[in-house]
Amino acid sequence: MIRGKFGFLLLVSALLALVVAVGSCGKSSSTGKVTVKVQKV
Amino acid sequence: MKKELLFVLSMSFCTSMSAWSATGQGSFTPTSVLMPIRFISISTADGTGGSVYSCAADSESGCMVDIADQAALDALVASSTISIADGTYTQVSIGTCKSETGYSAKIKGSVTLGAGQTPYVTSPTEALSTAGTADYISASFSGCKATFQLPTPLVITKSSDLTVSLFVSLKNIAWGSLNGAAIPSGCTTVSGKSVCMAYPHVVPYVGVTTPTLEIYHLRKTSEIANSESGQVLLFFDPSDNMLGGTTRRLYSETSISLGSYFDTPLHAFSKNADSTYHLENSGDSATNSELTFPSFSRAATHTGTWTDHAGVTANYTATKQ
Repeated sequence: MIRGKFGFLLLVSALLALVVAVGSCGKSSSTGKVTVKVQKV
Repeated sequence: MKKELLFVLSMSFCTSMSAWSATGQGSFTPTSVLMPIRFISISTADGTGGSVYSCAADSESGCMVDIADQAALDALVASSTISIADGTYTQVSIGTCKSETGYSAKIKGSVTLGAGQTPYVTSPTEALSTAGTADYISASFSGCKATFQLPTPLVITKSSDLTVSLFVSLKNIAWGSLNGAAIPSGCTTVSGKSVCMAYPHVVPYVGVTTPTLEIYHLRKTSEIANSESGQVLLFFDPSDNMLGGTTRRLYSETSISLGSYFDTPLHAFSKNADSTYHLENSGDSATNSELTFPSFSRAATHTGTWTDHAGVTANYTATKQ
């Protein structure tokens, strides 16, 4: 029984870790480039 | 700064509830304006931001840029290409100080004042002098950051390589007076002679283009001819699409003050079916407007009606310059 609860918690933890990992992939910290140009008119 | 300008407006009401004019005052276009550009940043709707320019020197004096000199502005660009996190950015901010509560700009130029159209030059010891050549005067401004809405969102993805253009005009942005300062911020005064400058609001644009500028001088139709005291500056792209604009005060020997009506950039604009424009300049909060023009025409001269922040309407006459 104990092993069963432990196994369940382990499974939940693994799933949570997977969700976080997938979420991190979606929120890529990759970047684009921006140039600012000030122009007198 | 806005509260201070409202204070000036309330003083104008207290004087007699009528507008007034004063001699010995005039607008001019400075030949040089040194502004401390400490940083330029863009931010998303929820306030998440990223810096697109940061002055290497951590001091006001080390970050001065002559915004009247295109070569100096181009030099700013040379160090402003940065990588920034993915996102949809809707605002651009220009920082002119950091932990301080204000900053100083340096202004140099000349203006003719008085009935005799006497030439004056800016002077650090006299504010305005009839002798010598123009030199820098220092004008203090309150506030450290100005934020402008991008006309279209700036969407940054991994492969983005975009440019944000900031258009600025210094046309008649400053004014000299022999009767003291009209506003408490952006001025320097010595023995009653003052030089003031409005904040150089920018018109942001996502991309690169060569805009044209149209300037209109406005007065209340009920006031006498040549009493114009407001400017509307409109920027258009080569395809004649409006990019944005700003308003600013106008002073002359015969101008009749309209208080703080013309101190802020346009925060809303759209083209009407009849080719006139709906224009609104910013009020004292993020959402309200100081003046609303429902049908602003680009004709050489036109009359129309504006509504002010209090809901009071008035007829105006605008003349294209």
